[in-house]
Amino acid sequence: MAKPVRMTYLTAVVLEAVASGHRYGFDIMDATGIPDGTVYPCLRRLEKAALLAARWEDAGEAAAKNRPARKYYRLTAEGTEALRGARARFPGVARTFASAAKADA
Amino acid sequence: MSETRPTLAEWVARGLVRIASRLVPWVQRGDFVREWEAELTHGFDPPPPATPPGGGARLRLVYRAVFATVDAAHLRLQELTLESMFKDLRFAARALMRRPAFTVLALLTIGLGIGANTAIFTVVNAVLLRPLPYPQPNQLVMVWEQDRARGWDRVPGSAEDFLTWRGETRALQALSGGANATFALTDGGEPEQVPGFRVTSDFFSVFGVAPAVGSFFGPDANVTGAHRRVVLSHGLWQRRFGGDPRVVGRTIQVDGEGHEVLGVMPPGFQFPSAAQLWAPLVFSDAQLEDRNWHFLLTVGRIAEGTTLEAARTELTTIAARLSQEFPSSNEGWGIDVRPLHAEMTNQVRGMLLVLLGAVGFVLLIACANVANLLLVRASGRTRELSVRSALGAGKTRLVQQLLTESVLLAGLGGALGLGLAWLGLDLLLSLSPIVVPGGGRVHIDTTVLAATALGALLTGVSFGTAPAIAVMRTDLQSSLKDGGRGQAGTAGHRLRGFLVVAEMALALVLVTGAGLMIQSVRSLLDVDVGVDNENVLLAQFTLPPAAYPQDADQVLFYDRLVERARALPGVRDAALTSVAPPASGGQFHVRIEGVHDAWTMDLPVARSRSVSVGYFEAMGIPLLRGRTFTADDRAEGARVAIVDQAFADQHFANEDPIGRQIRTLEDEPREIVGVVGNVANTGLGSDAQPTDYLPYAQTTFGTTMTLAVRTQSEAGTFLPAVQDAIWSLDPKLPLVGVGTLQDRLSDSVAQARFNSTLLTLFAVLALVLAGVGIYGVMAYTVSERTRELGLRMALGASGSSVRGLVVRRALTLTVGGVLMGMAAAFWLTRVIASFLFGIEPTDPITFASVAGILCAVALLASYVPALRASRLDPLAALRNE
Repeated sequence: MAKPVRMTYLTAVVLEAVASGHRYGFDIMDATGIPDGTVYPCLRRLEKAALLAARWEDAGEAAAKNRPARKYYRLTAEGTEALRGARARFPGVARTFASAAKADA
Repeated sequence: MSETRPTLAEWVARGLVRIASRLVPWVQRGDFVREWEAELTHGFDPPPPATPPGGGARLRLVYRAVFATVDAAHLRLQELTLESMFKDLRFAARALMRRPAFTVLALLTIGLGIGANTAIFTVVNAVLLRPLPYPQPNQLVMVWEQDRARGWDRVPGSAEDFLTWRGETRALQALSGGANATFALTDGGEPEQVPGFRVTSDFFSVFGVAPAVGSFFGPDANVTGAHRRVVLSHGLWQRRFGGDPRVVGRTIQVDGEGHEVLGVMPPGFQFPSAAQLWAPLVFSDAQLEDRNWHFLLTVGRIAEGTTLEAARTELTTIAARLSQEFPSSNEGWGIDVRPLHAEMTNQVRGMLLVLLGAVGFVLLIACANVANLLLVRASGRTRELSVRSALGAGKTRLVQQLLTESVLLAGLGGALGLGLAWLGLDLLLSLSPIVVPGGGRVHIDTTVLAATALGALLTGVSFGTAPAIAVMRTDLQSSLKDGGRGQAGTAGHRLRGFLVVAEMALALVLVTGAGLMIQSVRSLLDVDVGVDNENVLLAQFTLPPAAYPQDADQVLFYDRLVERARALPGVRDAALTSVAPPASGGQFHVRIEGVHDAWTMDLPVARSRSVSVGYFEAMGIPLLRGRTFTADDRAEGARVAIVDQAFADQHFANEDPIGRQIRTLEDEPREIVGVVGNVANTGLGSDAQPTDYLPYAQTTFGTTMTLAVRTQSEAGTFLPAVQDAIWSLDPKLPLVGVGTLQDRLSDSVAQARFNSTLLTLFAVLALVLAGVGIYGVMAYTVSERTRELGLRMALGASGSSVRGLVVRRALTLTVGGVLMGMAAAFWLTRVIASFLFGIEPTDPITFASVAGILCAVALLASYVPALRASRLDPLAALRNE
């Protein structure tokens, strides 16, 4: 069930980070530089609000890389919509990630 | 999963995730652990062979793993629905009501702890935390001159220095000077002397206040001719003029001269704190010529966008230039700029913080006590908890329930505490009027409410944690099997013991502090003032210079007054002095003929008093050598002086001072004709400073005098007769400081007594709570060991040996607490060292007696449970299975 989420600067940054291909917690922390303690609660809220959806990495793929499967987050349709609104409100955020965007592996 | 052995960092990080996962609701727990463990491999890509990450990266990993707890707490909190919280709350309320005795005791304990804290915090908030009630209060500063070499920190400015600063400063947008003054109000009603402040015209703009009625002085006020104008305080306006706005523009008699009332200050304006009347300051020629004449209290406002530091630097530069330009007066003088709020509170800040610390201790003891009570109760509830656990409640659920109970208890206790604080505050304020800087009342405001709520919440969580931990550690399944008895185990036991030891230690620190303060006050009151202070009535008055322009007029009045006072029935003696003990009066340079041959800044100083013939006899100040003043020491006679022992010791250590000549204020040689005993002249508790006495017939210091009347019986009852005597000579003369010498001496230690009373109150509270704590633990121990004690007695142990067993355990805990407390007190009493007089902060007798008191309390508290233990019926105890 989706519950509305307040669009703050922090949420905008996390959405933008996910959109530009940073798909799991520590990667998002590295990419955004926002305080470590706040990323996870933010991810949980966004997931609960259905702006993000999560799926587990394919076990075989992970085993090939010699590590446990990661939980990857991606934007949902609502998330993409919300990101558009967030970009209008915090135009600086998109610019920050435009340069850092990398291809989705 | 990596084939290689995990590094320490990985191991720690994974451990943190595992610990955090305990908080996560169990349905989500598996995913939580998987997700976080996968996160921990971040940065170890690309796939094998992995580059071994550096130490910094590993530490970062551990650091990030700590935040798994934040995530876990977040997940746990999402699980809490309003409904389940409400259910918990209702359950908690019912649980508390089932045990009324426990609940009342716990509530009282918390209520007292939080109440004491709220009351003291209310005062701290009003005095130290609330900003001054003026626009941009942080810009307000006081400017002081200072002479570091002589240890003079805060010296008022001289007129010329002030004018230089004001002319040159850019860092201060406004600077005003003022001098304390008293004004006699004489028209309508009883003549009255009110404290006031003579100010430069920018005084009002510095503070940024607007008049309640009328206007303030304009820039033209500070010149002779235009200066007969006054501004009334709101309080004075209400009290003496009935709050009538038409008083503005009227002419009132101030110091015997007509002054126009320009306006009224806004209510609550207080600077300086006692001032009720403000008048323009007109510098005299003498003041303008003498940069050594330090009398101006200087308040300024820092310019927009400038800092305190910048202002300090700028004024220091100006001061450095002045000391080069005017070396004879300004050599060695610097300047300091300090925030006004801190300056207005520096007298009380230290003691308030000590008191806040003391109530903090009381709250800690209260917490430890309630934690103990809860522990005892939790172990009594093992069965209930086991059943609930068997029915499917997880341990976290039970802990949540227990914490809800604690927080509910704390909430109710906090409300009770707020009520107690509200009542206690009135009592506190009636014991000692607490001056709030800038006016305003000491009251419970939203800051206090918020602090109390937060305090109660923290209190609840902190005393709720102990039983929660105990439950976490208990094996609930097996306790269900053995009937839910005695499962708190050694951990709970040790925790309880530790809490009692901590309580005892905290109480010891408080009682020691209070003991030291009490003894200080007593030694302050025991100080030999140097006068016979029984049955002496004092009344101070100031002759208006307009009505008594010549010295001769004043002297005539004084002579007649002394004569009249002496003639009153029941009066043994009467005399006049310009400064009565224990006040200090001004200090002036003195020159000893033959030792100092010019006036310089390095000359010694002495306190000077102008007194009547018979002053020493009337006050009972002993004459040590030579003679006292006689009626022959008239204006036209040979100039004479009498000095005190401190003066003689300082200047004539091995010589006879009689016959030597000194020069004081008026620069004429006068002969020392007598030496008298020292009189406490800088307040009780500090050494007497050298003092010289001059007959008023030869020298008057201003026109303020104090009449001292020695009576045959209770001095206070002579008040109306003495008033009438004064008013029969001048019906318009206002009297101030009317009262007995003993009252005045005791008032001078009022602050110290107030502090020691409060500290004692808190110490007694701490002692009672600690006593209840040790009683609770011993009573519980006895009930827990009923079987064992019964067995011992069945096997032939005597009642006294069982008693000994219980008392010994109590004493072991107490001795532990006493030792810990002594170590802490040894270190902490230093904090109050500056408030002590006549006693060392580590006074061994105090320490020993306090330790004795604590042991006695512990004995008393453990005796009742011990007695109960020794009266056990062995059979009943054993049957009680």
